[in-house]
Amino acid sequence: MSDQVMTSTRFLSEGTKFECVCCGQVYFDHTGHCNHCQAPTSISRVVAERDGKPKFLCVLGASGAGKTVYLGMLLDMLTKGTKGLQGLPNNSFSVSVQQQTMNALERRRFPEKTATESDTWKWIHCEVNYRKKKDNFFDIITPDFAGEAISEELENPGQYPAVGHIIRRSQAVLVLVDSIRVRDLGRDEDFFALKLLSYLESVRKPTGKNAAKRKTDLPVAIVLTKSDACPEAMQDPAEFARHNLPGVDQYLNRHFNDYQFFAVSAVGASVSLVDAHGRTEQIPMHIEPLGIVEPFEWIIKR
Amino acid sequence: MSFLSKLKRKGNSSAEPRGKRRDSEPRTVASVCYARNLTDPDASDYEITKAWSQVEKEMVIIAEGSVGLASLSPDDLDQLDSRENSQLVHVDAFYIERLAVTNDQFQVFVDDGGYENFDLWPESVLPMVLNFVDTTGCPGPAFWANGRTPQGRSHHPVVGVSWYEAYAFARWCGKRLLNCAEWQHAATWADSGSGRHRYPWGDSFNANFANTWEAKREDTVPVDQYAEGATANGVHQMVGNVWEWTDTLFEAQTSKGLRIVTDGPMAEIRGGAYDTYFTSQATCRFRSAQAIAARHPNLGFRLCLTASDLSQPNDSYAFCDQGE
Repeated sequence: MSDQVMTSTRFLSEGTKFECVCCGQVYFDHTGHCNHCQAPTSISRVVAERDGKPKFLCVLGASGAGKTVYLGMLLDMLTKGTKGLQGLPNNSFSVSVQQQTMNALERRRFPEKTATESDTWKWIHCEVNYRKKKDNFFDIITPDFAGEAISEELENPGQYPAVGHIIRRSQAVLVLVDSIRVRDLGRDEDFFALKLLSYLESVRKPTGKNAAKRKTDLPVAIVLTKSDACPEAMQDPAEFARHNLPGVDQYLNRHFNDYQFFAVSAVGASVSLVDAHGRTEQIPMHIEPLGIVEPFEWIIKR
Repeated sequence: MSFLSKLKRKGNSSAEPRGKRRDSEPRTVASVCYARNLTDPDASDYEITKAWSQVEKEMVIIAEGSVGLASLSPDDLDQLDSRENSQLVHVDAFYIERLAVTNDQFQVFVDDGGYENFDLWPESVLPMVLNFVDTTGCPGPAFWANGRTPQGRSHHPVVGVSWYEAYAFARWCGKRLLNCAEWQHAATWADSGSGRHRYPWGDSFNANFANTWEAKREDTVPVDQYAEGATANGVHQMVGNVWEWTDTLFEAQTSKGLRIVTDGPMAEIRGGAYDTYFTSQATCRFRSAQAIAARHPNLGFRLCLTASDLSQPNDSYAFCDQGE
């Protein structure tokens, strides 16, 4: 009798057992997150209850590249339905990213910067149907990473394990690069993106026969953001990258089989708001998304 | 002729804008620039009468009145639909074009040497005019080729034109751009008794009435489409299809230590376009701005005439006969 009581008590205190959808670790859920990579248990639970493997999509980029705006806009456009794609957010985090981004943009503000702490990241899980075919469903699972965390992980791999785990599981990666910074602020963006690609390649290195000679198969979309203010990028993203992101262009050519450049923008025009201390905030005057879904569409067709 | 009778005549003809004549009658300088005769002191009665008959067909009168402009102060920029801090502005009576300026109208301007006629352009921008070329380097809107209207788009609004090109076209044809108060007054004046609607047709958005992102066309449509979304007096597409340049400079404002700074001069634009994502940003009251040299695919314009500036024929019976 006393053994039975002890077992029940132990079971209750340990919670329910889950396999993390991101890192694969088996854990007892106490906090609502995987204790290794901080992926929400709710996503692991939904995926475990469903048939088929989820498809991960990873959105990476430097701090301020526009990851939250891109993900929020993409989710909202998919939810409304566009280009034969219809999305359904599968958890409250996804809706939160969508809601916060849309609320901010509609009120002429950009969403707040994503915090560096991984337990505060909002994980997006969206079920997408393509061309209204019954079995043409797939999931997008990606956290809204903080740019600083990505940067830290590139310098000290393992610091933010979710980054590596997501890349390992991803079917494709979107690397967001701020086109205005590329054009106006020298090679810094090129170097950051180069480090990111090198990290991607190290995580997804080909294995097996002739591995050293083979290129990485992971599809990579280089997405030039804020191109409303950089018409050169919008006009011909690949040509723009060739001249302004030479390191990235050459690295992709040498190490990746499948890549493409895209230019996107969400804002029609912007002004700056300057406070008494000289701090500047960009204000989007009106929103007219351009090219947001195309990189995603390209990935789906892979 | 009294103001009210003119108003009724606009209402009667509102169902028949320029649509039917577009294929049968090619545009000429005379047919596009008729308004010159209304301000030309040397114009004959016949010319004035003929010009008025064109005004009757292509424009509607907007009675004088007041309109509440949303505040563009740094504190109020994030208000979706602020009426509290709006500024009441008086607007004199004017005539507004029922339809936005089309590619085929702009073609006449290009063919007439509008880009080479430096009298039409502000002196300070003359060097810039050389850069106002199409995809093949010919003078013309940004998305044309070889100085010609893209095929099948003659009745679409002209886009890819900077504020300066809109201004030069207006001078050439004897009209002018609307200022932002006139624009808003024209979009909302018909309901002034009931409190200024958000859209020309009412307060709720309807994707069937305007070409915005919600319509999912991802392109412009001919200027006379979406007739259901026209104002009560027949002004089409005040919301959606293309943003419209206005003659109001977007001025940097300051409030409580906050100031708005722009990269260069910007002009106010109104109405939203085919790619405007939020319906709250494609309303009659929403004020936005664009760099005046911008030549975007979603930005066009429409023109107006100040009612008090226009000549009347000395023989008023001739005018009445012409209009009946």
